[in-house]
Amino acid sequence: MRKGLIYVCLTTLALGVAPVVLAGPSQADIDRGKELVFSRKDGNCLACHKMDDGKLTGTIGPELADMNTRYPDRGILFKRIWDETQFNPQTVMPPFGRHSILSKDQINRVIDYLYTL
Amino acid sequence: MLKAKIILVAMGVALLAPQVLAGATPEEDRKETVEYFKQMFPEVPLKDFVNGQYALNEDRRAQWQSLQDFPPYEFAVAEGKEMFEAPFANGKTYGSCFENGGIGVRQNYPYFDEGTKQVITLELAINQCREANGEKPLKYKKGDIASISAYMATTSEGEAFDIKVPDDPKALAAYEDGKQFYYSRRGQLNFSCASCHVQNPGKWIRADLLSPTLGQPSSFPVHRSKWGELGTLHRRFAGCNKNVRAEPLPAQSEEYRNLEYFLTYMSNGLPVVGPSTRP
Amino acid sequence: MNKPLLTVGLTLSLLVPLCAQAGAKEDFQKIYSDAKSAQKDAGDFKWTTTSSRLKAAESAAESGDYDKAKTLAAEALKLAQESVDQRKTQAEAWRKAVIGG
Repeated sequence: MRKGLIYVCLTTLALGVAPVVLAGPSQADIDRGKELVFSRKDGNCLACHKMDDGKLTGTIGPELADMNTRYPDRGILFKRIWDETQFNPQTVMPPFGRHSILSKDQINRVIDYLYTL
Repeated sequence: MLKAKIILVAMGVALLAPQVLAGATPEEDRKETVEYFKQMFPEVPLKDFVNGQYALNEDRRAQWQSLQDFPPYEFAVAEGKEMFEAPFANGKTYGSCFENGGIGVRQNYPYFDEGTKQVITLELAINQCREANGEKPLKYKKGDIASISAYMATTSEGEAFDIKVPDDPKALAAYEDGKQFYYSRRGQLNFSCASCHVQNPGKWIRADLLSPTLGQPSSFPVHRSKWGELGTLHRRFAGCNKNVRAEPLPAQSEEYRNLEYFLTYMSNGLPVVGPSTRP
Repeated sequence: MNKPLLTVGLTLSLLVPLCAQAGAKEDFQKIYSDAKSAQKDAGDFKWTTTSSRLKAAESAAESGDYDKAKTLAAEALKLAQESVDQRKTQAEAWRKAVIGG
């Protein structure tokens, strides 16, 4: 009886934890990311990039689509948002992380959203 | 597509070229700048660059031209003329401070004053004139000074800018200082003036179309819809700085005057078209 | 009732928050003055975001909320240091962006 209960608990735990690790961000993370990307005060990414259902988007940067194919390595995407000048010194993309425009967490939410494009 | 590729290649070459080739004289800088924008926009006649974004986009130009019958700055220019002609308390007028009575001189500003070793802009000269005649100086960004400057610009309409960097190390230093300002990245967003106006003219930043370096000061003072009134070039400098989250410098500070000196030199040979309208 | 013990206890309980408060105030003042001097060092490269954090830190300190003031001052310090780095890097880097340069 008791053994059974422990087993049930362990299964629940495994089921409860595993999806979080494997299935990636929650819808809330993605929603928060989109908010940051679209907000003029935070990411203001639409100023330069066309994407998703964004209106009045700029044409300075490339359109953001198909991000899984273009950035199979999440770490690289993070680094480029953190400080694109490390990859291309003449870029006009703000160094969002290095200049504290967005926090680490915020950049991660932005990436969660970008991978849905 | 091919055109875009050529531009990209040209930009790549420009960015990769060794530093030794960097224009050693202001005149070499200007020629390279003209060449750069000609290559970027081969279909735009050189003189049209004074129209900024309207030279680069047909829809925007048509929209803008349709508004030129009743320009919103007309009243301010008339007021500027009145103020310009009205005598100070001592009986003298602005005309007494300027060459040719201040008529048709806009294209010579800013100039380097070899006496005081500094750049004199038209707005600074207007206030120096007031103070020399016992009047209080005007505020620099908008209002009366913009109206007077706008009126003076109308008397130079079509005249080619003729900015000189005299053979004086201090004059060259002022020019270089302005050039450095134009190309230095500033603010939390890490933009230089050139990030937008050299690297990305003709592109959209949100709903705004970026203008080229060439011709930028020709249309000032401008009436911006955003302001709902006329404003001076230094007001615009401050606005650009704030946009990139850089603390603006005071209007008519040495830095902004030197910046205007460099920027206007780049437009030598282009006509005065101020005042004008912008979004 | 042990009166002396009670007094000691009461005094302690009054002193502890005061000490914590004094510590936070000093911490704030140190960070704030560092942030101010870094901002000055930024020269023509000051950021508006630094200025607004400094102002917010000041007003939090005025209202006695030194924890909040300390956090804001630390943010201002970080931004100011980044703007100083920008000024130093740009002293040379601007040349690479020049047309024909």
